[in-house]
Amino acid sequence: MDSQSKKKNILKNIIFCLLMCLVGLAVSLSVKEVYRQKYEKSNEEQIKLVEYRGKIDELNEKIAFLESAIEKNKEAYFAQVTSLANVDSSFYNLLSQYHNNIDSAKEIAGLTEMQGEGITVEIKDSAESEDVYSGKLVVHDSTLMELVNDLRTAGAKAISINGERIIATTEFICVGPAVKVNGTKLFSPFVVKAIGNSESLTEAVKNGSVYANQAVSLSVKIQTESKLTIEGYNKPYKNSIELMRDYKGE
Amino acid sequence: MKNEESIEKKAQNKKRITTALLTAACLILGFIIALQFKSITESDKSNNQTTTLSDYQAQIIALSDKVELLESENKDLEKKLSLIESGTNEEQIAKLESELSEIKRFAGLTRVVGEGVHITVKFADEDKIQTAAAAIQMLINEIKAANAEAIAINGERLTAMSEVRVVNNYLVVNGKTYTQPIDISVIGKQSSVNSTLEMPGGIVSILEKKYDANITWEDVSEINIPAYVVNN
Repeated sequence: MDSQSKKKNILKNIIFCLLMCLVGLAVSLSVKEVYRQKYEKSNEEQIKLVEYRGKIDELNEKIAFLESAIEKNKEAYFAQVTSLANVDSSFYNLLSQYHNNIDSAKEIAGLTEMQGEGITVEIKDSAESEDVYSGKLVVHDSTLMELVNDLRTAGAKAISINGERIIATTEFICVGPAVKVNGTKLFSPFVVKAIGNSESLTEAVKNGSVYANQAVSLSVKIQTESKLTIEGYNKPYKNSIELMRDYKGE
Repeated sequence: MKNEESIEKKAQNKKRITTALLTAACLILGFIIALQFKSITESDKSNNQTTTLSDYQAQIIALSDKVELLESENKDLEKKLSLIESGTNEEQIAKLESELSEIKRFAGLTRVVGEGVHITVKFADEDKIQTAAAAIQMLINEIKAANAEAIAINGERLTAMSEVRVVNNYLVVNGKTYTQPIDISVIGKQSSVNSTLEMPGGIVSILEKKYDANITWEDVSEINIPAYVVNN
């Protein structure tokens, strides 16, 4: 009787063990299923990622090709222009005049890279996390707009923010955590570069609205630069002159 | 004797079964933990991937823009090159002339006409213009965001370096002072400019409610915008 009850006990244990095994299996299977779904999803992303990377490589190759073609064509063109100097000097002068005018118009438009003395201003969203919705801790479209306006007032010759050259029709619009500038979303930290007299530019920033209004809690760092390079407007300007024509009246 | 042996054996058996059970349970537990851990790290990874995906998308857009820009520059150069090689002098000048006029138009250096909107802002209280300076700047900014191609304020063409500010109740644009009303001429898609101005709770209603400004606007099919005069 005693040994039988012990046998029964062992049997019970074995059944219990099997049951637990089953439960364990079921749990692991369901976990596996979740994992599989996630894996499939990430697999899809993986494919997209590879596709995007390929596209980026392709575009970079195209850019390199175009840049070298432009370099070559430029050289060839100006070699032809120079050779005109002795053959037809009056026409050569006329061409040169056009080239100079085009260059200076491009400079005013912001289409060319510019170098010179200036300052960089780095503005970062505040590190504090409280009071996010008071709006005082993040860089707004108005923060950048007012800063650019202050720099223009102080006589800046060229301004860019995170590589976006500020031109006549540049807008500043908040889009979630980003600020859209020239249609491109920019994120904090915002590095504003300005070419001009560094003293008056620095003063303009210090007396300007970035410090005065909301931005007391933002991190603002001003740095004087003896030689600053500001890149030209990097989008096709022809899209921005579609509706206007030269005025042909008196 | 036999009985004693069998009891000992039974005890040993029991011990073995318990150990086996424990081992199995531990194994299964370990397996589950490993799987769960793996799937958690995997989901972390895929979260990271979504950020790189949108990064890549932004990069692709920027690079495509650059390709478009370089392509048009290269096409221009090729045209100029073929003209200098086999074109007439007149054709070359015509090409340069059109390039120059396009860039001047874009820079704000020529008087231009086109479809647009004319906007007038008048403050009931003249002193209010001083406090409204930032709102006036924001109005101009919103108009730019509506894809405006050219803007003039009281006849001052806005260029890349034009400031708009208020000093002693005077509006200052391109270093020149003006009194109100503020007169804004815009070349741009009328529908976009209108919807910007009409936006409920937008900058126009802020100027009206907070600064007691009267803002009117009308579409103009051929609005005339002067050139920026380069100061010496």
